[in-house]
Amino acid sequence: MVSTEEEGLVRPMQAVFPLGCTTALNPGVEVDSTGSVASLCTPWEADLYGCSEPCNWPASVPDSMTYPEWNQGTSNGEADWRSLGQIYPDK
Amino acid sequence: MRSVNRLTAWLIALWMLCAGAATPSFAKEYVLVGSYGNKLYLIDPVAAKIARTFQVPGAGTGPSYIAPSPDSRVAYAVTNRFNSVSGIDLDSGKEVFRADLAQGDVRVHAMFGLDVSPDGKWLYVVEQRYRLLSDRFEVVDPVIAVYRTDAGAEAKPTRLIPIKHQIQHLAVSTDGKTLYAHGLDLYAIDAATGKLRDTMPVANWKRDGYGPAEAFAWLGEQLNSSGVYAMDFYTDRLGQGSPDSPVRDLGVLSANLKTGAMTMEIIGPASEAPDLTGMTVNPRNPNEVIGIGGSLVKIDRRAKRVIARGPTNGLLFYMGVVSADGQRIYTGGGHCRVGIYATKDLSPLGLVELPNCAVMGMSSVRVVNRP
Repeated sequence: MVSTEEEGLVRPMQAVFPLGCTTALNPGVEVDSTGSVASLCTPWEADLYGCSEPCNWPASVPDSMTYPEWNQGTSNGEADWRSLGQIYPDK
Repeated sequence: MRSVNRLTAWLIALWMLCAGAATPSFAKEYVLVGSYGNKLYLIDPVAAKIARTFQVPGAGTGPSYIAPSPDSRVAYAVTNRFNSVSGIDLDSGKEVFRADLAQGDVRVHAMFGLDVSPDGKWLYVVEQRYRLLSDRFEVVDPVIAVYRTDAGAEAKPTRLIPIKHQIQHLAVSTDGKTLYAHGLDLYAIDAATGKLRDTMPVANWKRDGYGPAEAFAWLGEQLNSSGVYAMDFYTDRLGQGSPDSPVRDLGVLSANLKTGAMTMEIIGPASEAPDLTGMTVNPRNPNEVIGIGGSLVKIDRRAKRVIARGPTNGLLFYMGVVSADGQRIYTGGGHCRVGIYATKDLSPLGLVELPNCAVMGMSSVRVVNRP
């Protein structure tokens, strides 16, 4: 956290976290850090791949390092997104 | 007639000698990109067609950051889900370098920090490291690992340079003596000794009236022949707007890889280009930077304003790079299309769709000179 003393506020440190990609962990309802969709990737399917790879911010997709099989064999994001795997908690 | 032929041959030989060994004779510029399916492509930007396709061996969805060797003969690409770096010979298509990054029980990921020394002998890789214990992850301090480029199929680092956490990108100075590492701040590191030589505060910058600066360092700048590392940044004006709706400015961060000068300058309101994810400098006009993202804009650094806008047609490109002659900009990343635009007015010149519309994801867009 960074204190902005001039404003008397404490708000989350934003550096390194990017524009684009969702900040809401809410599958199927992606919004950006401002609550809109303006800075999400377009076409939106690109988010599913781009946001899952580096796994350094919360995205509504699993990270592909922990779940390498998640997007295996689905190279065409715009056509294959319905074939992406489902991830469930371990029982 | 015979003497004329001899003279022609002599002139050609002289021209080839002057051109130097680093540049292949009769070289032509190609765009180098990667995609899911672990592919690399060479795209002819004039014909707007794929000229050649390469398969990166091993597991993984697609290459991430790509760094071509200075002579354009080898493309080094992060692959195997950030666990390996593969060097693909762009003549034979064979893998001539492979570094599987894990060291003992330390798991290692490379993401976007990758560059080759100007003499082509050393590959520098920013490595994020951790141990997977029975009950937790244990973070191990990150390093820049230094590999010999001729180390072959089982390359191991010759030395490790300790670095700060959260560094994402790397650029080697034109003399090979300094490594510019970009994370929360921008660091200049002595390539020989590994000592931190200089720091330019970025997130930690102190500028009257402004909060921390956010530079989009994670995708990395697509270095070209400009000799300048450039990146957009955004910063909030303190005391203006509200926490939910801050008043923001757009700026240009740069490191001159020839002179060592590191600068951050405010350009203007972020509303001019609120959705940039990358920046690139025109090699023929360093005053001119192109911002890439949801917008495509040309910025005059001296005048501090946007001087041209290009149509992205609803596509968000992650990154781009300007051609060596300064005439064209190539954009890519994210989806499956590589854009070609004129730097003069950012008018579109072509759009190349990769086979089967395979997404590029985090893959780079670089330029190489090939016969």
